[in-house]
Amino acid sequence: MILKNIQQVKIGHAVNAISYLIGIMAFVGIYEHIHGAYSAFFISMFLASIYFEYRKNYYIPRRALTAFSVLVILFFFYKFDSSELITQTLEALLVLLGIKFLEKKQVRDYMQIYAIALFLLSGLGLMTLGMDFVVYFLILVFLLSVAFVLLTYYAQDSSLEFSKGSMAKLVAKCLWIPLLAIPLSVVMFVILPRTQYPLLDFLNRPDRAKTGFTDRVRLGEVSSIQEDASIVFRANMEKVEESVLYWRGIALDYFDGTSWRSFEKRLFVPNTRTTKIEGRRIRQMIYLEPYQNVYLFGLDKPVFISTRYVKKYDDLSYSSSIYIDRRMRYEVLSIIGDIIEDENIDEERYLQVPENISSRIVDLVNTTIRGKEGPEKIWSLYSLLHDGEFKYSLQNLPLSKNPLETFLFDSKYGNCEYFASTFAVMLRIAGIPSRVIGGYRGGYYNDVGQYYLIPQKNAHVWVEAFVPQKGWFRYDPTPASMENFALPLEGGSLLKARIFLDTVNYYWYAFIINYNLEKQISFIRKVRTGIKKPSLRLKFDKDGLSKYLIIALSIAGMIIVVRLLIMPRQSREKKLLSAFLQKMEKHGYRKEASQGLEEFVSRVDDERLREQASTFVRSFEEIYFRDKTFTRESVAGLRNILASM
Amino acid sequence: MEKEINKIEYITQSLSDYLQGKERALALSLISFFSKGHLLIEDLPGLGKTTLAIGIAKSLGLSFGRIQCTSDLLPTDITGLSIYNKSSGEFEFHPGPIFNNIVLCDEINRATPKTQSALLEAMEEKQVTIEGKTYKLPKLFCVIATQNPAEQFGTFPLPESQLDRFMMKISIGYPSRDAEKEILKIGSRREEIYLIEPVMDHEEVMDIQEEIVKKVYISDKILDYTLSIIQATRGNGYLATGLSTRGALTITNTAKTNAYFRGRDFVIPEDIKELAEYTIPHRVIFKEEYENLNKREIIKSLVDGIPAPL
Repeated sequence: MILKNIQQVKIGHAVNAISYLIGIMAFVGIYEHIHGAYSAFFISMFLASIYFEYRKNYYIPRRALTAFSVLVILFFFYKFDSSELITQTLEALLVLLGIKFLEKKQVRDYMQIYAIALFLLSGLGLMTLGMDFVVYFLILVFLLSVAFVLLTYYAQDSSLEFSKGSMAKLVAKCLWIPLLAIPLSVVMFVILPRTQYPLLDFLNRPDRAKTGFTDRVRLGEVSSIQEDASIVFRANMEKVEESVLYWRGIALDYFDGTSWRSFEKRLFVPNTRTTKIEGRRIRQMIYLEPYQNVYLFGLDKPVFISTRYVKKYDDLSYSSSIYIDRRMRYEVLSIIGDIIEDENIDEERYLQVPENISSRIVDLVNTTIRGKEGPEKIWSLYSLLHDGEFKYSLQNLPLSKNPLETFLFDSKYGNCEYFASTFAVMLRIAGIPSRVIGGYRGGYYNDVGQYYLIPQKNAHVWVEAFVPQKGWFRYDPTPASMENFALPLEGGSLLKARIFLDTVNYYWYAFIINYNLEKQISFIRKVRTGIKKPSLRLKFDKDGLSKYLIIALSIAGMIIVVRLLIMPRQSREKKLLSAFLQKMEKHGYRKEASQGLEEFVSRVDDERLREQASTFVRSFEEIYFRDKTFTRESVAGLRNILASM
Repeated sequence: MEKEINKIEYITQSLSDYLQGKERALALSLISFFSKGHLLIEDLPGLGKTTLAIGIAKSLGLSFGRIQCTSDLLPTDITGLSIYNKSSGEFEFHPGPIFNNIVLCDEINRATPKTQSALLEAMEEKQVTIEGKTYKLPKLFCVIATQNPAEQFGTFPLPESQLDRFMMKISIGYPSRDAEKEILKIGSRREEIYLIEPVMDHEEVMDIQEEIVKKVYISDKILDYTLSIIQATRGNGYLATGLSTRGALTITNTAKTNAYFRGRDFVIPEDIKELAEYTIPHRVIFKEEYENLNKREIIKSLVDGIPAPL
C-alpha cells in the first residue's frame, strides 16, 4: 500500500480503491440529508468490508448478503412514509451500498456500486441544487469515468498490471470524459426546457371542461355543470389547515344582471394600510398549467408574486401580461387572514347594481336587514343564504333572464356562482361595498411531493365585503358541506398510483421542464461568478464553515481509519525497516533496491557500525523471512538496537 | 544443527589445506551435493578437479568412482555389464563406476551422445537398466562432471536439455599467486588426500540432506522473489528461452542449503543471489548474437535488476 515502493499497480487493486473512494464520496454527499443511524450503519459496513478484504481476505457469503439486502428492502417498505420518499430512498440505497461493499466483488458488483452511487447523486440533486452539488457532481462523474475505464480493463484481464506512469496517464485521459460531456450537457440544458410535450400528461387529459376558472361569471345560461378533474396548478408549500385554502385569482366588480365582470382594473398603489405586512406568512411555489388566461393564483391574500411581466391590481389580484399558454412557475408570498386592510375605496365602483334589479330582491334585502347595523347586516344576509333553504347543486340550475331572482325565489338550487353573486348583490343593495372573488378552493395535499394539487373542479367564487376603517372581509356564502374541497380526486384503488404518477410528473416539471432559460442562464452566471471568486462562494459563516470542516474531517478520518485497518501489520515492519535505512543513510550507506539486507550490511566499512547493523538485520530477518508477526516486544528490541547505532 | 554445521565447516577447513585457492569451488560443490544435485565443472585440465571430487568423497566417508570420457567410451563402460562366469555357468553383473556415491566424469563432452545420455539418464533416474534388469544406484549419488572449454575439436557439446540436469555449473579457475606458490613448495598432495579420515558417515550425510529440505523455512516473500527472477529471465532481451520450473526448484533448493550452511533455518534473498550465477546461466539459452558475452555477468545484472523482497 505504500505507493512509492510499488512500481506496478494491479488493476484489481485500482478498481477496488476507486470503488471505495466512490463509496465515500457518495456518502459524504448525502450524509447530512439522512438519518444518523443509517450513516453509522453505512460507515460500519464500509469499514468492515475493508477490514475483511485487506486484513482477513475473507468474504461474507453472497447468499447471506442477498438475504440481508432483501430484508433491508422489506424493512424500508414496511416503514415507508410517503412524506419522506426521497430521504428514505437515499437511506435504503446507502444501506444497500454498504452491503454491496461486503461482497466478494465481481465486475457486476462494481457496476452495481457505481449505479447506486449515481442514484445517490441524483437523489442529492433532488434535495439540493446548490454549488456543493455541482462540486460533488463533478468529482463523482470524474471518479466514475475513471472507474468505468479501469473496470473495462479489469473485466478483460483481472491480473493486468499498470506501471504508475501509465496509470497516471490513464487517469489524466479520463479527465477528458467529463470535459467532453460538457458540450453535450449544455445542449441538453438548453433543449430540455423547450420540451413542451408533457411526458406524463395523461393525468391531465383535457376533459370536457365545464367547471373551471373564468374571468366572467355568467349565470342562467346552463342548467348543469360537469366536473373537470384536470389539474390547473400545483402549489409547493407546507401543509396548512383546510379552511385557509382560498386561492385568489380575480376580483369581479361589475354586475350587469346576468354576469359578473372585472370592469375597472386599477394597478395597485401602496398606501399606509395596504403596505402593512403582518400575520402568518406562507410561501408557495406555483406550477401553473397552461389554462388559457392571464390571471395568476395565490393563497388568499397574496402580497407578492415573483415572476416576469406580472401586474398587481388594487384588489390584490395579479395577472401576467403574457397569455398563459405554456407551463410556468412563480413564487407567491401570502399572508393568511380573512381580512384585507384597505381604506378610501371607490364606493361607487363597489356599490354598483344593475338598473333593472328586481324589486323582490330589494324588498327581501330591506326586510332582512331591518333594524340591524354594520356587521350585523352582513351576517343576517349571509345566514339567509348560507343557512337558509338554498341548496348547493350543479344540476337544475335556473335558466332565466333574471337568474338571481329565479334562484332566490323559485329554484333555490345553485352552485357557488349563484350564492356568491346573490350575496354580493344583496350587500350592495344594503349599501355595503362588495366584490366577487374568483379562484379555487381547497386542494389535495401530496405528502410525497409536498405540494397541493388543485383540479379545475375546485374552481370557486366567494365574496368580499368592505367594513369601513377595517377593510375587506371574506364571506363564503356557499354551503360548504355540499362539497369537500379537500378530496377532489376520486378514491378507489388507483388513487395511490395516480398520486404517485403525479408526483413524478411534478418533479419532472419542477426540475426539468419549468427550468426555464432565464433561470438556467442565471444559474450559469452564478456558477461562473462562483468559479471566478471562489472565496465568495464559500460563505465562511459559522454554519458553512462547520459543514466544510465536517466533510474534510470525515474524509480525512476515513482515510486514517482505512490506513489503520489495512496497514498495521505491514507498517510496523516497514516503519522499522525505513527507520533502519534512514539511519544507515545518515552514516552514508544507501541500500540499492536489489540488495538484500545482509549484503548491504556486509559492505559497511566501519566495524562497529557493521556489527550493530548486522545484529539488527539478523533479528529483523529472523522474524521477517520466517513470516512471523512483529510483536510489540520484538519491535521494541529492534528499536533499541536502532537507537544505539 | 550446530553440530552438523561445525562438521561441514571442519570439512571445508581441512580440505582447503589440500585445495589451496579452491575454497569457493569447494563450498559450491558441497552445496550442490547437499541439495542432492549434480555438478558440472567447466575448466581447463590440471586445476584440481579430481582432487576436489576425491576430497569431498573421502571426508564424507563416501565411495568414489571415476570415468574418463573418450569418444570410444561405451555406455556399458559406465553402467557395468554382465560377464559369463565359467565356473558358475551364469552371467554375473559387474557394476560400472557409476555405482559409487561420488562419480567424477572427466571431460564429459568428449563422450559420444549415446554414452552421454546413458550417464545423464542414470543421473536423473538414479537407476540403470542392463539387459532388462534394473539396478538401483546408491541413495547418496552425485555426479561431478567436467568439461574442457578450450578444446572444441572432436567434442560433443551437451545439449541444453541435458545441461539442465546439473544443479550448478561452476569453474575452479586459476589459483591465486600465493596459493600456487604454496603448491609448488609442497608439491602435489594427491596421495595424501586418499588418507583423509571421514568426518561423517552415510547416515549423517543423509540426515543433513533431509534436514535441509524439512527444517529450512522459505517464506512466500522469497518465493515471490524467485518467481520474479524467473519471470525476468523469460522476458529478457538477451535470452531466447528462460528458466524452466526445474530451474526454479533448483534455485530454492540450493538457497535452502546455502542458508543452512550459514547457520540459518530460513532463506534470505542473498542465498539466492549468491548462487544465481552458478544455477542460472547453463539453464537459459542466449540469443545467438549474445553468445560470446560473459553470461554470468548478464545473469548477475538481471538478478540485480530485481528489488529484494523487503
